[in-house]
Amino acid sequence: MLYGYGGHILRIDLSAESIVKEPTDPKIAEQFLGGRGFGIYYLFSELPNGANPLGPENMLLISPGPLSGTLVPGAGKLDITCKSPLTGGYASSSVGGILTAEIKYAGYDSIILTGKASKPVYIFVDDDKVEIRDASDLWGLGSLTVEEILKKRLGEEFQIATIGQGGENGVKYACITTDYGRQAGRGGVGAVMGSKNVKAIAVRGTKGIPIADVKAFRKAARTLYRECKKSEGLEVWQKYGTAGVVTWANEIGAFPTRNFSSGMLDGYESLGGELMREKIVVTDKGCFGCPSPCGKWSHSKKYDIRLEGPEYETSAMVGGDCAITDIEDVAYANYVADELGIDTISAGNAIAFAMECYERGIITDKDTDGVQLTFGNAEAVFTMLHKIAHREGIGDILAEGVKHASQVFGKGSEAFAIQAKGMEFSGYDCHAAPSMLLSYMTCDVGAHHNRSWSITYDLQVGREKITPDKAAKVIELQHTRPLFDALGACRLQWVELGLDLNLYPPALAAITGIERSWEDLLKVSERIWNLTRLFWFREVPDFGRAWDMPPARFYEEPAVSGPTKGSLVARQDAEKLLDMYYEQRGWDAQGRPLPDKLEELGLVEFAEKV
Amino acid sequence: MAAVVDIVGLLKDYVKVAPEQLETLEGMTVSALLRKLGLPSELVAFVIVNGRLKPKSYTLKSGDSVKLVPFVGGG
Repeated sequence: MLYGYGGHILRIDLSAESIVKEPTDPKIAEQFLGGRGFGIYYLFSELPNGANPLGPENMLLISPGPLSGTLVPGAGKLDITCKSPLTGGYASSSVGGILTAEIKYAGYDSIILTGKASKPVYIFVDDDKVEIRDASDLWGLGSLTVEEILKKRLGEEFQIATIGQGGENGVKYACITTDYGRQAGRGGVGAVMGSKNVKAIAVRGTKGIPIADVKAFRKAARTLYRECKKSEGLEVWQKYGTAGVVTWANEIGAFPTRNFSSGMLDGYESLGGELMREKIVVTDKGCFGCPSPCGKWSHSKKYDIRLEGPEYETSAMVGGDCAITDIEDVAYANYVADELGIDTISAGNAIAFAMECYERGIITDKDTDGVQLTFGNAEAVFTMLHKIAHREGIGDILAEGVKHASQVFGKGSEAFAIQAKGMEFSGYDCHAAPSMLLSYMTCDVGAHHNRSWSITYDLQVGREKITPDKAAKVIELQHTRPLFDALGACRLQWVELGLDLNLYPPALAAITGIERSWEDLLKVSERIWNLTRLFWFREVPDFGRAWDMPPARFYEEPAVSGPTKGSLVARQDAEKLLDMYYEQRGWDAQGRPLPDKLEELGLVEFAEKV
Repeated sequence: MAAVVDIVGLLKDYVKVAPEQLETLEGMTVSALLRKLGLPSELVAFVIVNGRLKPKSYTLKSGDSVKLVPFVGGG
């Protein structure tokens, strides 16, 4: 008996229309845990070298973890992994909601999609009954609309993941949506699902999860809940969610503004948590098993739309970065992007980049089909979201991401295409935050904040410092935070509520019957991190140090206004931090894991395939 | 009625002057209060006044209940 797991890997080959269930391998479960660990294990082991990310050979792996669907607080996270069409390297995107629990209850630890269906389909999973069903009538519809239709057709208890028009049209940052507004947003996982002609996945599970020691588990889970409820941060995080961060981010000059040219937006107050709550929030919304529901159900009177959000990231990238100051405009853009199924982070970043190109005269009305693409023009943002999702005109270029767009537009625009490894930065300006810049530079999916959010460390020890402890903090966070994505639980109970990390191992041990300390689990996380790095080296022929460098804006152009005005991170300092980081990781000067590190982590046989 | 200040979590480690030692808080901005307490403004993630999120430019009034909340868990 494999305790704590669904027990099976579900393989669906859409070309062959074959459905195969195989038992979950206990050895792989021990070495890679689940979630993003399973994702990279199978992707690395089975994806043909050099596979086209939007070709039938790419794999889409949808994986809960050993904590998913259990009584552990926040046990509602699901990992979606594939080769990224945006970056050409590794993609793994985490999403909340309830879907992960249903997949687990249906008995699966990963659903692996390969091949390509000959016509639009959706995947139907009802415990052991798995079918590839016709979805011709759903193709062309929006993400939220399709979820509503399938809920009505199949029953409310089915949890649904969908793509919108963005995923159908291969937008390189198309997302997968579930629970009416939760997204696996980054890296283009939705484009990969669309490339397989899969419009949706509907899952219902009614089985239990085998628990090794039920009594000990109840005790451990109760302790975790009790500590959450005792947290002094609970009230504020639940009331405002991530939108509560807007005010602080502006006060410290970290709110990306006008394509990351500064860290404070004039008029940011209207995007802040308090005014958002007053103006549009209807009620709180939590994912499966959450004691601190940070999601917000909102209604905009101005546009008469309902949505979940906006989260901080959307307010930062559609609000600050495009200089939109009305929360209802941001909410509407959020709703449009959700329905079209495109990531608000990358889309906001891409539109802000195009706005700067337009204001500098690099692109003109002729390129934009007459759209006045100026900062602060909310209507232009809405229009561009549609153009991107449908790949119309300039939208076809922006749908490829800012790295590609800057290569097309040229004229020096590469310097302010705010990306690393081909992925657009998310919502923290780094002109005065070197360790946060290093976090973005070295993140294993491209420039995303969720692996390491070290900006508070810059503030604690001194922003300007370029010291080895900053590299060490980034590495520590890169092992701790994504460990939650392997376990299948939310990290925010730790990040926001300050839950003691040492409370998790007793719960995991009671679930799986395997005693492991938090340090043991961090070693698994380090194994996963190094394997994702090997994947980049395997899939991207010229991969190395240059791929970890940030855009010139952060080291050549000081922040133009706000609290960090005049600040930048000198190029040699960014290089110095990278050297410290590689050395501490046991990697060479190009960022390639050295033999000793591979040996230590049990990855030698994988490295031989690079 | 005097304003009451509640300092949460790791911010307690930074406090140089206890709020009770300050004579009057009324009429002072939160930023000024943080300076007097010796608290680095950047580490204060949330300023909650009477249960509502406020910017640090907020001016304290008589009877205000102020809660200063940091980020936790290293981000």
